Amino acid sequence: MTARASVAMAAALMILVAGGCGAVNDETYAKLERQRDDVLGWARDLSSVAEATLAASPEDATQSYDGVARSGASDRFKSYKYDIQARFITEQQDPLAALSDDLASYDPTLTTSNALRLSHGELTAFFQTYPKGPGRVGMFVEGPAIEIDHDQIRDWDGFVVGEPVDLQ
Amino acid sequence: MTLHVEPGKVQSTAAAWDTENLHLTAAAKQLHGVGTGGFTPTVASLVGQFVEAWEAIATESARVSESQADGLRRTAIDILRTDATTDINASLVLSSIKELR
Amino acid sequence: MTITISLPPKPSETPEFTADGQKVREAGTTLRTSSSIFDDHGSFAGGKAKESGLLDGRSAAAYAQALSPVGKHADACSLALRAAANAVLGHGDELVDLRKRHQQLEGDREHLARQVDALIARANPLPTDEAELQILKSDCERCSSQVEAYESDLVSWTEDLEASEEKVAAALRDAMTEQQVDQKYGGVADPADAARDSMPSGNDPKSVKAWWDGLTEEQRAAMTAAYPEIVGNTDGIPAAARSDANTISLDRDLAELGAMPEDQRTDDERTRYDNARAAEEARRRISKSIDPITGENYVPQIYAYDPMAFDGDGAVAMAVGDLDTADNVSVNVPGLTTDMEAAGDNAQNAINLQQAAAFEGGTSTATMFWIGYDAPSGADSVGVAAEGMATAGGERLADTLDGLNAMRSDDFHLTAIGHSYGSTTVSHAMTDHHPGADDVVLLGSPGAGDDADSADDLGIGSGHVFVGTNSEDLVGRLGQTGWVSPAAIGAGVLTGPLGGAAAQMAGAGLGHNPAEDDFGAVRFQAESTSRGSIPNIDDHVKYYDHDTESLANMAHIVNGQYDEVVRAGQVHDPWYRDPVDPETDRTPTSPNTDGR
Repeated sequence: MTARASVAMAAALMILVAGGCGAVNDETYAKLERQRDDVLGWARDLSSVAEATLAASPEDATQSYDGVARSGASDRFKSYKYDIQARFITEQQDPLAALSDDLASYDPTLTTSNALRLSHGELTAFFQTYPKGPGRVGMFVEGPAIEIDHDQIRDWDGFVVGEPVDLQ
Repeated sequence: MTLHVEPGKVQSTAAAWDTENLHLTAAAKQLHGVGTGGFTPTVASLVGQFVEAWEAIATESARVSESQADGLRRTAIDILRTDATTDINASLVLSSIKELR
Repeated sequence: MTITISLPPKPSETPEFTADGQKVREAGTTLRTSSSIFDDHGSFAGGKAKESGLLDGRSAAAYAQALSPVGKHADACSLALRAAANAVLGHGDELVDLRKRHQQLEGDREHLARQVDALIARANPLPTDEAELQILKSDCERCSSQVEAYESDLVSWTEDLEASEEKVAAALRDAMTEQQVDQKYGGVADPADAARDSMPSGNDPKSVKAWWDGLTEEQRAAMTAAYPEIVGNTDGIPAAARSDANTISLDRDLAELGAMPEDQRTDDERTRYDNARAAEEARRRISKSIDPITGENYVPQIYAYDPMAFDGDGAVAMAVGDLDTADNVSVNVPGLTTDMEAAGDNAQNAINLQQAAAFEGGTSTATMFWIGYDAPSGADSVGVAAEGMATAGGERLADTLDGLNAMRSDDFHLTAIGHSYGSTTVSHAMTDHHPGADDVVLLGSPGAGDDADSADDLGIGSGHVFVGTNSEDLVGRLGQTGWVSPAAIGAGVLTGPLGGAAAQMAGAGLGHNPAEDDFGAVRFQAESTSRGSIPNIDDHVKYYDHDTESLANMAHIVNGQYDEVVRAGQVHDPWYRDPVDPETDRTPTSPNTDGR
């Protein structure tokens, strides 16, 4: 088979895969909702520790549960990821080092000099500082991507993008 | 005998009044949601009174629109009923004039 | 000798200031959107509503008589509410400025209070040495004059706040009752109408810009509220004004159609509402995203919004960053299966590119996704038999690029980026219309269009035509390479949603593969660490993902950091075998693009 023919064959295979979806059942909703509960719960725990470590309350906390098309087979399939973000304004001189100490049980790793990565099972969190935002510390908590046929759950009222959320 | 009403036109204009009612109701709802939290206390209470007054204005304009729609339909139906005594066509088109939303 | 030392007074407390100018602006925006609803209501009462369908003389006259005051009142309400909205928006701007000054005052006060305390400590007990006393005296005098300056700034700040409060309060008090409204605004001509009449008839963006600049502030505000669909979508009008107008249109669609029971929406209303919700998702996604350098949330700019364009596919363009002032601007053109419902995904791409550009050192960048042409999507895909949609889209894109150049009077760096079928569109815009873009990026390109035999044909110099093609990207392999077109194989073989469109792109023969050496563009590294082992579609949609070679390189191009762009070997096509892509054998890397 020539490379050009294999190009055509590969695309045909992709289409077969894309066309083989079934109906979304209650399990999918349960999965989406479970991720939301897990992320929210952990974000509250992290926020509570950060509040003490940074001597600051979380501000502008928002939640999102929107999906992004990450597969080329069809833009109907979207990767849904529930995420929480918030920011703290702190006078701590080295906030990431302090957070790393206080959140040692979540396997903290400095991925760059500005970002501290934490993990908790399948969940991931980052605390980030900003070169031109002195005193600002961003907190991001998210679950793993769940790929679902968007068309079948587009009216699900759990989807939110940037809605305020209470972390207390 | 000629009908004294163009039923299609009555129906579409009355429906357009209904849509105006919905739009103005949406405006009232929007005004209701205007937050005063960003203002200084000196101005916040005045803003509260202002949006309350304008929510009422929008609600009243919505009500007027709805009554225009209903009035137009009612007038057309009255005329057609009168026409129907002498013209069979009038009774046939009567049922086409109704409120859709 | 007697030395008199006057200790400086303690600076007065800075008053508490909790106002939030941004929230006040949001309130003003809502008032303006509501004024626009009244404006349309007035137009309706003075226009379509007159067609009562009543032919009976007496009834028709009674209806017309009742109609007139309704229209007049609606127009008055529109003007009154618009005036109040403008006052609130202006107040919001002033509060933003006052907030900054307040923060400065707080800082100054804290600093001065510490200085005063230190001087008091130094004076108790007084130094016995005369030289030290002289130094203390001079320090006290300097501090006293600084406290005096602080007190004077505090007074100015307080006066400015009171003046701003009084101005907005007066505007609100003036329009508190319907009687006031009718008295002040009844029968008053809308300044928007004269402004609209003076608008240039053609679509030359430079003439539009000159016209816009010539309007008074009141006329511009009136145009924005009364004709948001025109202000929001006319090339040459500054992006901030377009965004204000499109915000009105979008908020109206969400409010009006959202308030309507779902089962009562017509097909058109349903389409409009779905597209408005997609635009809202894009707007929210941008608003919640954060600049990795400053930690601040982005403020979206809605550069175009026309939810019923292209038979309901819709048109929308939204920017991350300020198109009016950014040093570097990119216009990102999506391709296959793009209609307005894809706005959220495209917003994410624009966010990722802005974040990467900022992270790579770009100090002032705006990235815009542009769904402004009829791209192959849904049922349209079936009709892609040639380059027609890319050719037509190229013309619209060229208008958009010309519009961006016309609205700016300064020199800025403009990059047009096309992905997939969008790259063919970008190529057509450049070859057919020569708009003023500095750089072009063709991503996962199925072909650079029939009018481009080489990168030079794009008219900006081959060194400014950049190509990113993952070696296993199926679509990136569809362009004509050397002496045989894959069109011969592609057409008719592939079926299904995206594969069908891909097949048709292949069948259409969308021109030369720009990643090939003969084309002469600059190919940059764009492999993915999750690259497939055979040509596939998933590798076609990773170019904007964070921590990819392609996003890092695009960020460098957008920033004009040409030396930082990591070049890739070009595809070459020996006559005796299939094309050879040297990137296939390279191990992909994963550069950090967002600081995490």
